[in-house]
Amino acid sequence: MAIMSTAVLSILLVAVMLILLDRNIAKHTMLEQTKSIARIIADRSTATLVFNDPQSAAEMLGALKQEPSIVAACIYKADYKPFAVYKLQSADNCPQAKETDYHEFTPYRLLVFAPVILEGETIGFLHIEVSLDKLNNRLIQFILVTIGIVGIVVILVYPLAVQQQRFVANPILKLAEVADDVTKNGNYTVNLNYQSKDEIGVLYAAVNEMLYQINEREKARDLAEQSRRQFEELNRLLLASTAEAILGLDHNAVCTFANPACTKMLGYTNASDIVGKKVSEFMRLPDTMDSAPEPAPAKIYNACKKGEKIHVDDDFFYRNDGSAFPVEYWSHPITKGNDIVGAVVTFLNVEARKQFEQQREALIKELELKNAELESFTYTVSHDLKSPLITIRSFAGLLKDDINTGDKSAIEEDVDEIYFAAEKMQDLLDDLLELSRVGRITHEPGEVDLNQVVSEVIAVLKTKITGNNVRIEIQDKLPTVTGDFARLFEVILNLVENAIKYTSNRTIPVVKIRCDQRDSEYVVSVKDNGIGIQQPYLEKIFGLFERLDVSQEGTGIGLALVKRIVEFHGGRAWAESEGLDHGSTFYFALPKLENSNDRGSLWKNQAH
Amino acid sequence: MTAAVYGKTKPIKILLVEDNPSHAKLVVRGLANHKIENEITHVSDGEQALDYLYQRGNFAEKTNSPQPQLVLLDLRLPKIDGIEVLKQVKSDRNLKHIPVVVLTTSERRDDLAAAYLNYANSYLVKPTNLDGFKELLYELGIYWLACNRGYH
Repeated sequence: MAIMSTAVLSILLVAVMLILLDRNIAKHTMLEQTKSIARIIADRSTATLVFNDPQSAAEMLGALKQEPSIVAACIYKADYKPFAVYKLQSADNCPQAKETDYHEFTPYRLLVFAPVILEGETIGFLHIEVSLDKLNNRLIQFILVTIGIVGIVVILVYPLAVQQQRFVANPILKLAEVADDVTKNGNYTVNLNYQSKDEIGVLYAAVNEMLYQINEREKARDLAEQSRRQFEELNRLLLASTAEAILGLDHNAVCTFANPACTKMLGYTNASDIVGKKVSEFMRLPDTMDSAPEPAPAKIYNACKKGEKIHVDDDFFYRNDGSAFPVEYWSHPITKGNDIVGAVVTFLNVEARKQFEQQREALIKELELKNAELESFTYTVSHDLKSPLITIRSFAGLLKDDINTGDKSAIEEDVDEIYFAAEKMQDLLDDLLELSRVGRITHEPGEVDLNQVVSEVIAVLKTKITGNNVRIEIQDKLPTVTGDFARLFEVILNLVENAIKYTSNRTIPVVKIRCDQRDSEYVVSVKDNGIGIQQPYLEKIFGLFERLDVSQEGTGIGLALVKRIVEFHGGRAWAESEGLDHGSTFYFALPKLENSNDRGSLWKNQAH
Repeated sequence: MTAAVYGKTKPIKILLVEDNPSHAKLVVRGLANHKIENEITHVSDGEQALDYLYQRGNFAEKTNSPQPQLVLLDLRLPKIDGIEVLKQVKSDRNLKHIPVVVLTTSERRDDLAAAYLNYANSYLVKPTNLDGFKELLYELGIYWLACNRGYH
């Protein structure tokens, strides 16, 4: 519609301009004509005025009939009185004369006044009144023509405008609608349907393509966003459920990330308690740790700064409360291009593993010890059994020689040697059997009253005690311990028997038996005032078949047996002495059992 | 314990360190009729062996404890064992020249290694029969008492 309005408006504007211009020109022309007619008439009317001849004047004016547009004319004398009048019926009476040249347009008339001058003296006036009907008609004609043209234009342009509306405006309006839909609803799936090869068609195709591209991009973005979210969720779940603690640091070792395991292990509730803090801040060293060579936080800080990769498995981290726990940790630098932007630290609490390792090492050590013991035991046994064998065989050979020579005393000696060696072998075998029995206690450990054990030992050794005049001093009340009665009897018997044996050269041999209760164990001691033991041999005497004095009888199994039985009870045995001639004290300690449940495991722990 | 002294005049002096008296008797008898004259001092543990060599304790009287020209050393001994005796002898500049022959029942590699690592001059395993014992002692006598030139 705009096109049509514009066209009409343009036509109207042009028409008005033309009409106004034309009317101006027409008015001007009319004025000039009228003025020149007025001048002519004024010139010709001088005589009539001078000669006062109104008749001639009237005739002269009557000639104006020739010009039908002049509707009235009037000549005035100098005293302004009308002198001669000419008028058509439609005209008014003569107006008041004007002294000078004057003209005036009224809607329908042009009034012109002119003085009548003779030799420089005004002798009268002239008035001519011209009808503007012609002019006005022309105006009306013009207007009608204009209306006509406008009408034609409207008739001609309207279908064009309608067509234009259909081919240009509608598609564009549709485009606007689509744009609106796209903006407001984010709907990029609209497909503009316009099959044409003109500009609009191209535009539509372009818009379609654009919308398609946007839609595709939008879809791709949605997909990317979705997979990013999935990835983030997966990451979050992974980081949240991994048992390893993961700690992200920036290049200043300030925490940027901490997974739940990390937060928990370090003794915090939320990751936000750590994030934004330096390693040295959230992993506070206890005050007593200041002198550590390079504590973990410092090590991590340095590695982070230098972009070094480190793996440490024997260090400690510190919790919020300052407590330490053993860790294995890795610090890997995070680089962006050539720059170190931080580090990621992963760590594990290896308390359980360390404990396990320690236990394992302890077990291995124990096993190695047992192995060595076994090896030395086998060696000792084979050596000690071989010795009498050599004696027997060699002296049997000598016996043969001596029988040949008939040396009777030599024969006797040889036989004695053979006899003693065989006896010794018998003793050794008995002792070995005894020793092996210790490892095969089958009955459950029970309550053992040490008072009873000691009194039975004293009863068994009665002859030796009285024979050697030994004074036995026993603590008033001995406790009840857990173990095997027969074995503990054997232990105390061996210790007391030894004490009597090595105090025999004293005038008043004294043997004191007592038991001290310590925190977790009972310590039984047998003290004598005998020959004593030199410091270097205090440990050696507990070895199998070890004897300090070969002149003393016995195979050297007693203390080895004591040690084995006591260790089987989960205890330990040792000796103390101030040195030679200062007596010695033999101790054995048995663990106090907290409850009867521990009893069952007493033997097992020591099973050989 | 007092040391048993066997042998004749101006013989070669041997220190026998042996805790088993029967074995000591075998050695003494085996070397008694040897053509090379010898004088054996028998001690029964490592402590006495060192006391003898350092002329202290029971052997403080120097005339009774002359430096031996050969030491026959058992390994498994009461108090101080043979390897420890060997170690001390071979690290003493006044004693290390004395040939020390280990005479033991042990054929254990550890013992062999320990003996040689501590500069034992020889390592002999006691035979389990008389002929073997006799032969070993005879050869021992020939080699260490006659062939070998010691630094006296």
